[in-house]
Amino acid sequence: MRLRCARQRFFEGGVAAQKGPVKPHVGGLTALLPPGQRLIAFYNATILWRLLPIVYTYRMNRTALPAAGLLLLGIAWLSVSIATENMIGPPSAIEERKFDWAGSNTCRTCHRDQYRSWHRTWHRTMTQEATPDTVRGAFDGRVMRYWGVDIRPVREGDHFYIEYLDADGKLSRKLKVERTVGSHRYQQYLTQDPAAGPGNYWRLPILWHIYAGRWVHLNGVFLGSDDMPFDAHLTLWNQNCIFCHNTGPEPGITNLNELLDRGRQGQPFDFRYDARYESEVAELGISCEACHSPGADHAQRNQNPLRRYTLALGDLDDPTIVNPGKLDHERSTQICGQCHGQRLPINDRLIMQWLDDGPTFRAGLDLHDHVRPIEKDTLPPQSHNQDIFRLRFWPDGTPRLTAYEYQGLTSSACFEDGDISCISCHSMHDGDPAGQITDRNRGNAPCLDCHTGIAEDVTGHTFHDAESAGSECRSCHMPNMVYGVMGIHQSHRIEVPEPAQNLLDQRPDACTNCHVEQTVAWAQSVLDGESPTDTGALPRLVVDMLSGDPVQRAVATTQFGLFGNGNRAEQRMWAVPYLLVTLEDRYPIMRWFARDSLLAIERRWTAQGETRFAQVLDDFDFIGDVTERKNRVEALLQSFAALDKSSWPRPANVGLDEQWRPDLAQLHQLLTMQTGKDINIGE
Amino acid sequence: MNATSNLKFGWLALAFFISVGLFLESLHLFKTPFYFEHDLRRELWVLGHAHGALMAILNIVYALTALRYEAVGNKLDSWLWLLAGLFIPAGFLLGGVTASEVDPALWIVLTPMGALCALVASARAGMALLRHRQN
Repeated sequence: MRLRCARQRFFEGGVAAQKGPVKPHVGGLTALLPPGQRLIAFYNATILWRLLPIVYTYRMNRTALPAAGLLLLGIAWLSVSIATENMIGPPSAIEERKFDWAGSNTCRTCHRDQYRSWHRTWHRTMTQEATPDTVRGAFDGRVMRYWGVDIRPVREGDHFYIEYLDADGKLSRKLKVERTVGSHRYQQYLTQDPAAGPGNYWRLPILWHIYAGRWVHLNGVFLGSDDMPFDAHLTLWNQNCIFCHNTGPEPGITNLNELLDRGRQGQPFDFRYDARYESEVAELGISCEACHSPGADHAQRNQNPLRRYTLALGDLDDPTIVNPGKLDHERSTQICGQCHGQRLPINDRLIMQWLDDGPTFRAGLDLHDHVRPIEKDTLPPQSHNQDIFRLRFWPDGTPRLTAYEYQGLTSSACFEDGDISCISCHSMHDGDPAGQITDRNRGNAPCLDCHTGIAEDVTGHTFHDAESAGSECRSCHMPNMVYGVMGIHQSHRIEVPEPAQNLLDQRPDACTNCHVEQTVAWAQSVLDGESPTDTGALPRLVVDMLSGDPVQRAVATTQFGLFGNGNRAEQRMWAVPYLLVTLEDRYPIMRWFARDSLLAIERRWTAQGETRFAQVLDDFDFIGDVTERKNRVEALLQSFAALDKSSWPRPANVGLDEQWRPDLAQLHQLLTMQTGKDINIGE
Repeated sequence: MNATSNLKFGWLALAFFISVGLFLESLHLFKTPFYFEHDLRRELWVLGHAHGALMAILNIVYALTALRYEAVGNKLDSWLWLLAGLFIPAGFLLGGVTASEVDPALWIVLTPMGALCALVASARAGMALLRHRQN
């Protein structure tokens, strides 16, 4: 009891002092020590105090030796008990935890291996200060004209600028690049405009596409037509990107009340231009604490070696930090879902709080206490555009844009009935940084961990050769049907292929995504074990590419450029006339995809030792001058017409005549069906 | 136990810890993940190798000193140097075998025990030599 009282007095100036001013009660010297070391000093003093009389007794009477040993053991046991209770902390709800950020450099001091494996990821470099080491774009002074505006990226010493030129080619505006966003597929740039609030960061209108090695105007990146104005995607970082591309974001809006008052008084204002921010982040980019929860308390408490060894030797969980691998699959998935699942704060009060203090969710908490993941039927906070969320999903509710992976996974049977989570396949600390997947998990292994029986007869399950792409689980159960970052990605809603139902739901199906020359009727009859029906209809991909809405068109266009193991280039040549049509689509991104698919066919053809049919394709700029583009397409058509096609297969249902030209009436009819299906989705 | 024992121990230990160095180099050569991808284990084993070789040399130095100066050599000092030569590297090496990402295994307690032996033995040797000179 005395020990406990002494301990209580001791800690009044110690661990308990974390929440208030230090009150040294036990000697001035111990109060100067950090709490962890103070604790050790306390235990040492206690042990010594107990040992002195024992040593004395031992000198007097050797029979006291066993008693001394027992006492020492007792003290050790008591120390560990106290350590467990007071340093590890009693089991308490994570909601009661204190969340202070420490920063990845603090984590590195102990978790060097984990720090290193995280350091190579694209998460770390998601947002960076603009320096010669971080800027990937070619700031080489070349002038570009996009949507009628001349701009020029230039470098001056270690600084980077985007210059706007007037009609005479003279400098009209010069914006300094302050920060970068992204470093994997493409890199966007942020600038500050003192006139529009010194703390406000604006996204510049061009980005550097790292894979393609070129500048791209944002109108060519997102889903939108050529009709967009130059500044269609002007975005304020402080109220958009900051939330998911950084750790511990606090937008710090400074004039929220003023804007709300203006709204109440009926005075018009534009939130994008009139809001002022003094934003802070715990760390630029996505670092340790985004997934492990804020770690200042964890770092401070674990300065104490006794605590660490008690946890390690007792195989105890540390309640001051979160390990996603030890959470149940729902909480674990929610950690990724805080960003990889577009969402809204659960109420208006939280919306206001987000704009000031940032998101309230922390790893380990229940995400649904803080946000509502956006679904197909979610209504936007301000009902000015009822379609804003609906268009982000296929009609059956499957997400069709990236950053909705959480919605996709959580609506899968593997999640609802099983215990799959993001880390069943992905890993932040292993594997290839592109996708964060280990070599093992790139194959069928993660699925076969549960679906063990399938491994015994792969072909019997897949109807494909065991070594072919058709026998990869993801080919059929996670088909390519999601648009994002200028690419088409796999769906994260794990599902059973149902081509006929998918057609009714106006969405792609896995079968005809790969069997590009086939119809849905053919796919369904094969799945049903019936003889394939020959309806003579156009392939589903051709119909989607020419008549679908922008996401349908994008998905279909990309599939022609994806080759399975045994596909030869000539098997896809019938698609070239249709891809040339798509090269003139009203949506820049469709032209990007069509060019990519044509290049893929050409590459496959070249690999077979044939002559290139379209040198001119390399120079086709999908966001370049319209006349120039038309000339290139005309040149491509002529090149294609001149080729010897006698050895190429031309399926009967693909709608090409003897000269490999599409039926113009049918073509016109399909293109007309695009009307009314426009989508304009930015990021 | 006498200075000659330390001399024998020193040379044998030196041979052993040189071979440990070769072993570590081979782990580097083949980029063995168990060693190469675990920062703390790598650090502990390098420290074990270095301290083992150092303590082997110090055992030899102690033995030569004891053989030269009678005042230095005695049974307790021989034991202290021997234990230091065993405990310090053993703590590092064994502590690295099952180290977590944050802390060495509990075998690491051998290292400060060995360091204490080395400290006492060094101080005793120094004091003995001081006394010897004064005499």
